[in-house]
Amino acid sequence: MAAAPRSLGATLSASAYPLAVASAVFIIAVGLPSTDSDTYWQLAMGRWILDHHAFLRQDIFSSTVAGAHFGVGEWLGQIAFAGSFAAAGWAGVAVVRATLLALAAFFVVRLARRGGTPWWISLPLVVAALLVSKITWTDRPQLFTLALFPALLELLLSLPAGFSRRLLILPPLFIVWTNLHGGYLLGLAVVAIFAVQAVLTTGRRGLPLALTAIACVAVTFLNPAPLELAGAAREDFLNPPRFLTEFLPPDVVTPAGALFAAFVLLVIGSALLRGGSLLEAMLLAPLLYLAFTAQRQMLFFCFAATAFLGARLSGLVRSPRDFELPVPVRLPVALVLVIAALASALAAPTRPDERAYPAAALDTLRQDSGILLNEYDWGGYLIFNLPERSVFIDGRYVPYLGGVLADYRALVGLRPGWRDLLDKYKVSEVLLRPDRPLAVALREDGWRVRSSDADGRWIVLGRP
Amino acid sequence: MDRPGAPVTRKFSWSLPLLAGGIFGALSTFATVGDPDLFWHLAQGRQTVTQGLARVDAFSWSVNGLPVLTDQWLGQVIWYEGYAALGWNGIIVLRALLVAATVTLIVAAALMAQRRPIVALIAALPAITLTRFAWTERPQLMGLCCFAGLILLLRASSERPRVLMAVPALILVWANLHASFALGLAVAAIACGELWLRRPDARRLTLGVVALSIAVTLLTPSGISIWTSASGHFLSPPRVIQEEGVPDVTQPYGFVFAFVVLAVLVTAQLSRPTMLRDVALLLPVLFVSMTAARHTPFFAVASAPYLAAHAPAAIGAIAGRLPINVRLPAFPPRVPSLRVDLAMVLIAIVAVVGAGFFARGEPNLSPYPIGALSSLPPGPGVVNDYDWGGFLIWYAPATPVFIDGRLFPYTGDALRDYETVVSLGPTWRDVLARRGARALLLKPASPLAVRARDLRWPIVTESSSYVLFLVPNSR
Repeated sequence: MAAAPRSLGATLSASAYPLAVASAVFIIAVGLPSTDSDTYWQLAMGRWILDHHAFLRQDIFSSTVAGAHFGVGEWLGQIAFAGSFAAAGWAGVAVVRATLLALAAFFVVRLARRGGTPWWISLPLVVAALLVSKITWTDRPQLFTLALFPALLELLLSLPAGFSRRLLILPPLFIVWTNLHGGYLLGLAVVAIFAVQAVLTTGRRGLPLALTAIACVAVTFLNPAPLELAGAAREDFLNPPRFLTEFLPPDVVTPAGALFAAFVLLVIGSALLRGGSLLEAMLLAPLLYLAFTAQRQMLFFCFAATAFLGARLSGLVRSPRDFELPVPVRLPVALVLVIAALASALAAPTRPDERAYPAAALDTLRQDSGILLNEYDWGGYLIFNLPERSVFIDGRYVPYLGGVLADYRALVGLRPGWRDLLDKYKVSEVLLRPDRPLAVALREDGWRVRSSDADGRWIVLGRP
Repeated sequence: MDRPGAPVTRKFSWSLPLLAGGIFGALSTFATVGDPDLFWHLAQGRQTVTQGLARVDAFSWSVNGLPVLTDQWLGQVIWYEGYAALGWNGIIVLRALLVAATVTLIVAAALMAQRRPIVALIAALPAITLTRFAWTERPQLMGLCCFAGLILLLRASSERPRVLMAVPALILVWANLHASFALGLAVAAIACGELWLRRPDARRLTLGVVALSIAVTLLTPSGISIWTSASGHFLSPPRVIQEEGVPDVTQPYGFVFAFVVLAVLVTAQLSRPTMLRDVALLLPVLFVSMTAARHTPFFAVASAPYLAAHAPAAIGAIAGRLPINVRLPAFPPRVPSLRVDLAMVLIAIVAVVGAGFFARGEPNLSPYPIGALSSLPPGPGVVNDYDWGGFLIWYAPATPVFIDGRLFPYTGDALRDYETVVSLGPTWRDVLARRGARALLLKPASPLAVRARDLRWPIVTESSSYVLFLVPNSR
């Protein structure tokens, strides 16, 4: 017998709690200024695509790999951010970010509330999971994956056995996702896990999901460069670039790492005492391995864990009486928070936080036109703010693998052959942190200090 | 009541654990000696044996006379006595015995949880594999052996709480061997807490064991400060040291660690719920294991009995879902006689000691600047690479080191100065001058060596793996 359609009031009541948390997250996230260096080159690429109405398939930003082929897989994510920037400046970027994070929070709450988990168990889980994800709250296309992953999980967990019209949502979702960010591969893996589990446990009734999974794989080829994104994701998984902080393994003595460890301990500890399910094992084991590979992947395990932990912890920690806000209170509170969130968009920061960047060096750098050797972390910033100078390297890192990246590291780390490398690339000017061995050596060798930061964060040196 | 003349049925046999221990102990003799920290441990052991326990540094010129840790004094003495008795083969034999003991205890704990020998052995294999990365000639291996012994005791105490009475003695020895005793004490206390809740008749015993175990940790030359070295490692792991780095699953040891964690996760999901005791023994150790690469074997050791007991049920649950008919072999329980046990003890000891005697005794010195020893200027003033400090302490006693693997005595000014100099920080020349450096013994690719070569500083000797510079205008 088909379930009776829920009234609008019941739907709103059920969504009040997720809406309230999502609104709170929006208010927090929209007030944060942009800080990530990769935001800048993502914006620059999106701006180029919008301006030229074409995909940017070659590098045009660097002096070292100029003209080299470059992946275009995240084009839709890039133009989403660039479009918001064009429309409302940095405030537009903040609003897109906050919206995606609010979406993520909305679905994580729904995951944590599965099975009627009380708020005093689900809310700490949600807050902890979102705090783990904080390290990826950067204005990049990966935010789309942050929002779509819990949405996908919520959809899959709510599917009945056999055919459901909700299955039809999946292929279009993946058409969009595959053009937004490489994280769609994780989504595909999750759909495949659900499909295998459905076939194993329900036999033929799992076939619709299995066929949908195949359709999802097929539609991901509707991307200007599908295999490039998959190749990059594979490389990130098998050989994570450890020189980037977000690709370091989880460190449990840091706040985010400690929270991640708490999730791992909670999942294993509660499963030891209460057992779990085949689906949970099939889903969480690979996500835990993925989390172990790099810090930026921790959030997926934590998001997925909330879906199972809430119900299990409710069984382990019984409250004498479950306290929930009554509906007449819950709805107005959620509405007030939604209105507050909408209003908070007006207060979105209109400038990025540039304290980590050599903003004051730009004028000096504009006076020269030779080859500039820049700090890796500042490449994106320079691409966006100093388009007249090509960068040596930047956060895109993939085009620089297999040569330029190794040379860059040999140069700034003052490894044998560094002088030959300076000559090979015809470097005439460097923009580095003053404590880099290369900066120290060049100063001793008589390179001119063209500009420097009073707080010792950067220095510009020119050939004598 | 047993009837007179009824045959005695043995429930447990040490044959399989000893066989496994003997095999892996003998295999360990194929690994050459040469851990960078071995040499300073040996030097400290020799110093303790010949001159008494030193509480201040006598090996460096950067922290000479300043306090040093004495928390591993007994381990160092044992390693040195092994060396004094049989030379480098003594080190290999001692290491093989420790490996054999560790493996024996791991398999015994698994066998105690799973009476089918083959299943127990398979469940113990990941733990044995992961301990391979700790088969080093250092007191750390003794700590791992103690931990395996503790897990066996705690598992056995579930049915026989009086076994816990051995824990304080174990902690007393452990606290004098290696700082990992702190983990053992914490795990023992948590396990005692669980037993206190579950067995009212054992409450006095568990309280006494915990109190006594805490008290005996003070019976070390370090006194109360034994706790500072343990907590220092745990709360603030020095990530610059490779083994103190975060566990990395792209490395072989990290992959095995992840495999064990995932195996426990999947087993917990798919087998029947277990007692609070497993949670108490596994979760704290898992957290500690996630803090640093060197701690990963602890969780593997602690989880071996759990996997032995419950993994078959999880595998059965998965196999039951498969469309094909998978029939797992029954692997019936077997308990050999006492005679077999005794024979196995002899065979294991003979195999391990014999293999140790016939092993290649000389340490592998290829990573060290052996060719520079004759050119080293005596007395203070040589700035050496961190990795070579222990080697120099042992092989060049006339040339005190700037830094070495003991690390903690250097924390502060000396370590900061070392990092400034070798990474060519902006004040590197000032530091060299202030410290009175006369020579640099470095890896050729280090920034300081590259810079010194750029500046044409005199090279005394060099090879592809080291270079010895004289510092111009030094005193």
